[in-house]
Amino acid sequence: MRKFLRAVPPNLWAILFSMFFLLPIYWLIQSTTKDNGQLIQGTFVPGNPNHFADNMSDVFSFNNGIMGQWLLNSTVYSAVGSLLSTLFCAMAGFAFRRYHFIGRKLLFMIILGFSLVPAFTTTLPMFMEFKNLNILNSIWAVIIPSCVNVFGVYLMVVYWNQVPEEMFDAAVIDGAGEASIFFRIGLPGIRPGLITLVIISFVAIWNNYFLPLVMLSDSSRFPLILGITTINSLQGFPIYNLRIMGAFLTALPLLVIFSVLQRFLAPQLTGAIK
Amino acid sequence: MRKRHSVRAYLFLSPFLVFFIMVIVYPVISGVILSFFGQRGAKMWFVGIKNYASVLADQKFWGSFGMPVFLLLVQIPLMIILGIFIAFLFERVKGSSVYRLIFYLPYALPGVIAGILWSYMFSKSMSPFVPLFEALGFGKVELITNGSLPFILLVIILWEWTGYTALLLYSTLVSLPPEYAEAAQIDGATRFQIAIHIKIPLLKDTIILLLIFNSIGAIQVFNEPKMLGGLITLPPNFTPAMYIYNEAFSYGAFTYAIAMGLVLAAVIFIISFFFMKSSVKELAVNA
Amino acid sequence: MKKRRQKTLVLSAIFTFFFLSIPIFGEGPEGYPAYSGPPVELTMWAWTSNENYSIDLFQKAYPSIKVKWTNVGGGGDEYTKILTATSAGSGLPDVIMSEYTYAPEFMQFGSFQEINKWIPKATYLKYFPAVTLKWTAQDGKIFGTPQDSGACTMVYRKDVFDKYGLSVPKTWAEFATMAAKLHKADPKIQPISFPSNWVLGPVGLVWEAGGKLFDYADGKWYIDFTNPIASKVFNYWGKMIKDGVVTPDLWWNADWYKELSDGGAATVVSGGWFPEWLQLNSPDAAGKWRVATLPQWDASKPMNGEMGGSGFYVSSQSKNPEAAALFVLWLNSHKDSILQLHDKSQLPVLWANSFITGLGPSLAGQESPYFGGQKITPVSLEAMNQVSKNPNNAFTALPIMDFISSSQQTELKKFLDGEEDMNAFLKNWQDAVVAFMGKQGFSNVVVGQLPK
Repeated sequence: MRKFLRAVPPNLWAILFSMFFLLPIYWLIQSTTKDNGQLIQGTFVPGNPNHFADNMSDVFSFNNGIMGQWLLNSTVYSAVGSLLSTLFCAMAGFAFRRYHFIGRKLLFMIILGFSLVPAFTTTLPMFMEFKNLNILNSIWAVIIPSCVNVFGVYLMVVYWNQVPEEMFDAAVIDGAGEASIFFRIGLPGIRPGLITLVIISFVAIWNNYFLPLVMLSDSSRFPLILGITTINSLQGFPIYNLRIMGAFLTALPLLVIFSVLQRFLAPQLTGAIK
Repeated sequence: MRKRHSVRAYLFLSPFLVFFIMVIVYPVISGVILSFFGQRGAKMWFVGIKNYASVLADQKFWGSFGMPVFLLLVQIPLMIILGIFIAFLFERVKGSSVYRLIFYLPYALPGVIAGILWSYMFSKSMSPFVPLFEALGFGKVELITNGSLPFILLVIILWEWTGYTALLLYSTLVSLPPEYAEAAQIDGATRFQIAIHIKIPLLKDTIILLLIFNSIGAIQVFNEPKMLGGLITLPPNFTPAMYIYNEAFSYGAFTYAIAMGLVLAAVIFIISFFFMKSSVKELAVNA
Repeated sequence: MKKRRQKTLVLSAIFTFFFLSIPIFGEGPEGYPAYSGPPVELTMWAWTSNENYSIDLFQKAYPSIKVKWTNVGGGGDEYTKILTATSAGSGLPDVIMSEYTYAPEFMQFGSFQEINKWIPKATYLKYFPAVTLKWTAQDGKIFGTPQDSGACTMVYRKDVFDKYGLSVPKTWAEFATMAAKLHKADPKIQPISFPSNWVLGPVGLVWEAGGKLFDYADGKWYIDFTNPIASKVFNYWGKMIKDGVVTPDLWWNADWYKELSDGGAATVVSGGWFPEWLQLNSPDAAGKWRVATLPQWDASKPMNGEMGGSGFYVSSQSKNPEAAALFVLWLNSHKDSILQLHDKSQLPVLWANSFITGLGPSLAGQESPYFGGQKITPVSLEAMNQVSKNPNNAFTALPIMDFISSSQQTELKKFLDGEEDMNAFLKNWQDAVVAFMGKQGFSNVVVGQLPK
């Protein structure tokens, strides 16, 4: 087994896996060049003649250019949600890591326990709660749930656990207060974890379709992922080539975010202690 | 020795807890209350434990656990092993950041779109796999049959989540203090030995985390099976979450859906109680 | 003296008459009821967008009513929202679009409110055929108005028919012969694309034969899947499926679109809206399809059924039911609105009387380039006409359509796997449906019979 693993160079593995992961993505990209007729033929090569530009302009002129609004909405929901939820998770993880507070183990299990309940069974109660709070059909109905990420708390705990106790002790000796320890010493120490969590949350909120569907009734507040499911012809039938272009455009910003944030994931030097 | 500092702790916890209570605790608790009611539209009437009795007696509900068990036993270990392998690849390979981007893409793609893509991948008339299999000498293969369903689902889930898993493991890897590996290298260990004996144990926490949340995900799996519905007729109880959706949610029998969801949560909790307790202990008590 | 009193009497009578008759004849446009409420803005959920044009015209006719339309996603998504908002007591718009087969579920669920006050039955029947009440009303309460008609038509591939020397079948017996002939000549082509996952298809075929599987009357739900007409229809198709002449297809997916485009299916039986769907989703096959009325069980007594179609209903949470009622009335019946709905949607067939007698026939001469220059409106109108000739020309769907669909698919699978025959299929399907009705809390179910 070891011989086999050693025999195949890492680059080859990487390429093989890439092909597997890229295959449907490639299909998506080459589909954006097609009109409806070509899509139905279902070939794996770009459309000839190429309709990429047509699809692009059609999708942006759909319904008076509502795509732009949807894009803006998604950006706001995802940026606010991912940043806030990551901050809250980092703070919570910090608390679990640093303090032996009353109810620590119990709280740890309780949070996990509540998250076992599947999402759409709490849809109606949450809908009723938001109705009472009068935030239905507003951006808050989407942003508030986006600020909660149970997985993120536990992920942060894992990262915080890797920060050596000595770092905290050194800061205390230097006379730093808790808030200072958190922001100036702690956060930089778990930077890869923070970046990862921001990326994951951003994507999750960006692609969250069900929550906005239930909470929002005004299409000018829809995120992109929901909006593209309403791209219908006048008769109410889906316009496939525009939906596919819409899907492509939905995925594109996520690529950008990842590329930008990825450089912060590079291995860092932790030599601050000695 | 860490001090108690409970006040400070809860201060740091408070933003999360406030939203957590609003978004999860309150809906679950009011859901529990609702689950004791029958419902049609806005009309609700008290029925005691009738909903729960129905759920417990519902054979189709219990029959729906087959697929999650399959995923638990096959998909999760496979995905974690692959994830670890790929995370190490990221470390070793040149141009790693490009690969990281590529492997992350499936996760970034909206689920509904991935569903359409896979419906072409596995379609009878347009799949690229069919000519491939023919060329390999398997003859005209029918990709989607009842028997192949679990494996098709496996492929789709692995495609969607392995990159994400690898990314998580990788970011843990890069935050490992390099001193351990360096010391071992000085001692003459090979890269492979370092990987197996040093790094993986240090990844333990992340792996446990992944195991817990992937297991929860496997039992609640909904999106990926839904994608398959366009390709083949699925039984309504293909997975527990699908069953809840088909039985109750699409008819507005919300209180019944809540009862089913709570029973599901209870089942997960009971099954995993001991495992979770010990692994949560691992995570909580550390360094 | 007498003359003056007479004159005064006559004059006062005339004035009184006018005074009293203003509400009757209405200040509303062209005989439509007047609006007596304050200025208001209505909200509407619909997944078609052709209404926008009608809305502009409506707002000119009723200046104090504004309408805001939102597309919240097709069918299933919108229905999820309707169910959620109804249960929570808030969040519904004023006007809701719903397919006819899902409307009973929402009626039962309390999502709609009755509008008899502003559209009493007499007014309704002025604008729409009585048959549509089966889909827009229940227990004497009218909830909305019908828009398009799903009167079945058959589209067929002229190129395939010409190639194999087939003639358009006029009876189901002829169809069976045609199918066998085609299958022998080229087994790769389906004589018909028979849906395995669209229950409205088989239900519509039973309807066309003059039968039905369920209905609602006198406060009770009637369920009978094993009645003679249903058995006849299902066994007819069952035989062709068993013989391998026809293989059921999954509709609405990539393989199916390709099959339709490539000529893999020689005919498709579907609702009156299907020809326009075909134009959007099978552009490469332009010129190759034609439209015809369905083959008949008895050529001397032509009948037809329905597959699909949607109506517009007033929600139970609407604070402006009068305005909403006037809107749905005007939208689906006024000739200007009908013209817009029809024009922007190419060729839907609409239930409004003004379409059946006015706009529809006026388009009789229009040639459709997609259908090779065929004049398809007369075909659609004839299809609708045959629905009204059907002695059993309408019935109400059960409030569990999704389950009827999924249980049909489950049983069909067993049939295809050879586990049961068609009669067992019908019985098991019926049993599952009856059980599910009970589970959803409907105790007013009558099994084994149908209302007259």
